[in-house]
Amino acid sequence: MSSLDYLIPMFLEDTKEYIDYFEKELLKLAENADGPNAYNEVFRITHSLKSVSATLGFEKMSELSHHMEDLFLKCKSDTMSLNDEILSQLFKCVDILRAIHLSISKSKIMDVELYPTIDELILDIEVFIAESEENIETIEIEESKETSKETISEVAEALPEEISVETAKEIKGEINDESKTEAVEKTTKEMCMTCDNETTKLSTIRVEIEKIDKVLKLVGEFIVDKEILNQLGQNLKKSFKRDPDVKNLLEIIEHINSVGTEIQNTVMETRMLPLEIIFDRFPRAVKELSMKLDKKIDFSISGQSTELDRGIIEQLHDPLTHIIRNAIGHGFESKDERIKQGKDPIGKLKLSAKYEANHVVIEIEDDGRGIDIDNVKEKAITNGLISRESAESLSDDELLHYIFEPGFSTAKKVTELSGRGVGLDVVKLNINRLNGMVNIKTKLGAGTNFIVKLPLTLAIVSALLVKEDKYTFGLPLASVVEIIRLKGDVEVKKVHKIGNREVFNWRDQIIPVIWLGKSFGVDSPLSDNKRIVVIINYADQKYAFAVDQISGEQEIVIKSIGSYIGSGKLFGDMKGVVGVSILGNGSFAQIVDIGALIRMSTNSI
Amino acid sequence: MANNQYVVSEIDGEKYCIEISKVKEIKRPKEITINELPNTPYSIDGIINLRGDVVPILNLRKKFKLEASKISKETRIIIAMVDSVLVGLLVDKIYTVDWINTSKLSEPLEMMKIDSHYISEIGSKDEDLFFVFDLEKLIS
Repeated sequence: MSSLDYLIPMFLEDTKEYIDYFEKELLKLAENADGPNAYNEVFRITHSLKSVSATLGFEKMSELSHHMEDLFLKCKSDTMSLNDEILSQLFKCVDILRAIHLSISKSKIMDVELYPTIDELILDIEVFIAESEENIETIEIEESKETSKETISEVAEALPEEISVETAKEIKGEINDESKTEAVEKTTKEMCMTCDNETTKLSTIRVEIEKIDKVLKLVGEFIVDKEILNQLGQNLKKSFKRDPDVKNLLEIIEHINSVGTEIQNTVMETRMLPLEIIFDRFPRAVKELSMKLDKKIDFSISGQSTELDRGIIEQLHDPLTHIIRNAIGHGFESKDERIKQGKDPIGKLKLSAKYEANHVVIEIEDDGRGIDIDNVKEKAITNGLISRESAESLSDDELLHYIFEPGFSTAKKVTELSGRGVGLDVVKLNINRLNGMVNIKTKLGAGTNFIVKLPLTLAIVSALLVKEDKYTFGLPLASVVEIIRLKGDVEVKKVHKIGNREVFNWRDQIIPVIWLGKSFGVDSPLSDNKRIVVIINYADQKYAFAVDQISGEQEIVIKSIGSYIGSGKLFGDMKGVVGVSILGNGSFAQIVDIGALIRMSTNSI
Repeated sequence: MANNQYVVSEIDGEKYCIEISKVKEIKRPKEITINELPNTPYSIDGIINLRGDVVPILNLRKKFKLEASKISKETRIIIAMVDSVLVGLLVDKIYTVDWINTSKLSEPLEMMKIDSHYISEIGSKDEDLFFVFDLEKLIS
């Protein structure tokens, strides 16, 4: 026994869930027990209870569950039906199972004092079963084998979908040859097998999150090694073109690549959770806050079943709460004001989530007063975030992003609800840390829409690797639209200077140019007309990133260096980098924080 | 007065100590590649890949504004854990690991070559002076 002690916490969690679920299902049965299907759930649960308790050596518990299972098998095969007497005994079983659970959770063993009660219940169940068999026997004598065949085929058909037609046929076929009891036995076995399948599907295994995190970390290391292997393989291919071993090696590497991708995806999947987990907490918060502020708000949620990596979900609660509080606090006008403007006095706040390519998009939409862009501009200038000159040259969208800058707050005074010194800059920081981005759409008087775009998975992303002098930078591949080589005069002429800003003519669209190397203080040995322009999409705007060299595309594991960045930290106030990643050749690439880089370069003009 | 075990390193002829409990390991520069990072302070030599962890390398000579020296056979990187982050400290050499009696440094000493701000305690043994690093201050 003691050797299995470590399994007890998990056993307790499982059985508690089973017992609760069983009771719920039993109550349903008490209301309505039509047809053999009605018993599927309870049968399954008792079967699971039997297995888990037997595994850990709680024999009495297993015996009781076994009898309950038998009882439901009879019910399923329509040879008996639940009457009040049986039901009340079954509810007693639930009570005793709870008592067993309690005693195991206290002392890791079953209290022997429970044994007599259990025995009594088992005896009762045996009596019920025996009674039903007496009934059956009489029928059996009267009716031919034909009937029993039917009964059993019915059972077979009543089985959950998992049992294939073949199995059902098989059972039917066997019935013809074998005697009834054997067939029943067989059916039971088949059913149990189905049950096992179903149990694993329905009641998932509990795994400590640390373990999954560890697997994920290992997968990360594996991916790095895999990339190194690929690199080595390519080198070997060049040096030993004809060597059959090299050929074999390359084939194996190919296989490792596909297995690796699959492992990675599977681990990622196990970490996926529905957004429901955090969305469910918002209605109450909205209710409370709106009541406090005397605003009437109709709050609706959609897309809560959208799944995201649990690491991301955990980090999402705070920023989303902040945006929602912001919307209620600042976004919505007071009731009177809304009436005055001819709006519905009840404000509408929508929280929604949906998949979009490799991303999840979460939107928080209000129909409040919207954000006054002129106000934002003035505030950004007074707070010294931007000079008046450059402010004039910025588009509304670009200006709007200043509300995410540290030290920016449009609220006239710090209120208890929205103040507390943290602003949207923290929201943006949190979202950026998750490799996501925030965008705002707003219309004065009509409302504001916060759009949070997040990658499905956290740690592993595809990146376009570019070289600037001796440094390698990674641009998230998801934001890359196009790569253009600036060769010859035709392309170079597409770069123009307007005032202080350089722009690029991309498909007749004038977009700003950002020199990647210069932004990081790296001087390029190349002349400007040998550059490559990477068109980047950020927050629905295009930007032309001028780079030296493209060195490839790679799956990278982002390692945060955030704990070294900031004033008073080792790296100082380093901007524009979300992290670093280890490349195939053992060197590092810096993963560019596109949003920050764009703002850096607009500020520096 | 406290008696602790220290890893004693040498920089520009002076002995500097790090509490042994904070030292994770000691590396030779040739065992690892230090990758430069743009846009970082002068004293940061770069980052290393320590079995999958990213660890910044702080060159203490540069940090103390001493004359830079080339990496030699004796140069070592002390990987230390400070405030739950790893940092690699590049020193001229490792002198010893030893028990040393130290006491709080109340005022800066004249013979110190570096800013006393980085030193928390001082001790002596066999006529040698030992300075204990204030690691938190060192990495900020």
